[in-house]
Amino acid sequence: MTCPSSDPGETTDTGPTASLDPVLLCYCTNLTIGALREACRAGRWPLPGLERTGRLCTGCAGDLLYCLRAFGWRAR
Amino acid sequence: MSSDDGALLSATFWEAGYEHLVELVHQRDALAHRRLNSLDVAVYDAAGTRLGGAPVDPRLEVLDLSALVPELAASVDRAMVTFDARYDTRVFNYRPHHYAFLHRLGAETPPLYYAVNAVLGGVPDRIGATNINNFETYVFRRQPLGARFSVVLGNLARFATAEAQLFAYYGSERVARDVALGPKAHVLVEVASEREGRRLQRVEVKALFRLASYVVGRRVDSGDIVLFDHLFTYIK
Repeated sequence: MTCPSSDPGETTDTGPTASLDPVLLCYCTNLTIGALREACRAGRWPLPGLERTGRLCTGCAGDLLYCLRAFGWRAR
Repeated sequence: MSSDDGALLSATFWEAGYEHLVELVHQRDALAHRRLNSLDVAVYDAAGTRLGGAPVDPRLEVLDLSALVPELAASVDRAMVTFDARYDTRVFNYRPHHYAFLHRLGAETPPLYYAVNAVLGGVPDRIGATNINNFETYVFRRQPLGARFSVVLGNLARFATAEAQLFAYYGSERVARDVALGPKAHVLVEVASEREGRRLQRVEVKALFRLASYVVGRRVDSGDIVLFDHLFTYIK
């Protein structure tokens, strides 16, 4: 599978553009940017089974936090 | 991706003047010829600018960075190369490993064989790692190496800036350095091999999230690389 360009800069004031939705965000749990965007929109984050996203290898933690903020997620 | 797909993002650092071969799949056995499902390679300069990249045929056994990268990175002496792999977890039930061969062209210094730093992924839930493991260490040999050292750090994040601390230990003395890296940026930090008569014993990198990190040792006389090894997470 070939992902879209991994160049930074494909963002707007509201976070990553929709063109990045297929891109893998967490390589441990296979979470995509689009799935996170949709889960945040629907108020369903964390999705079942993905509660440890960002906590395994930690490599995606920075981008995960960036996307959670951009998608308006608030911890409850 | 299917439910059996795993993902792994690894990185190394290319320098001009070296033969640099990457074995895409290290695992071999007599019964199975193991291949990745896909592999994308990308090359970045120190500022994080993408210089180029392309999908690589996963049937390829060895990727020659010394042929691939100079075309893309003619203007730089060092580049970060990422390996974005997808694999079948039924074939690689832990994760695939990329290993590499590194040798200064025309030099008598022996070649190095090293494991490419796996930075994102390859840690499926079933392994059970639950603690934050963004603290990585390299312990140097006790015998003098006659080398000068550096640490190369790369940020594989797409959006986030990495703020890291690099610690070098000389006996009881600790020297700290702050490093900030934008997305896909990298930096080489020189680390003194000796300080007030005490030899460099170990280095540590602490960051919010995991970075690509290698210790590099170079011969004092020729500058040839004699150590190229990624840092390790010792505590999980």
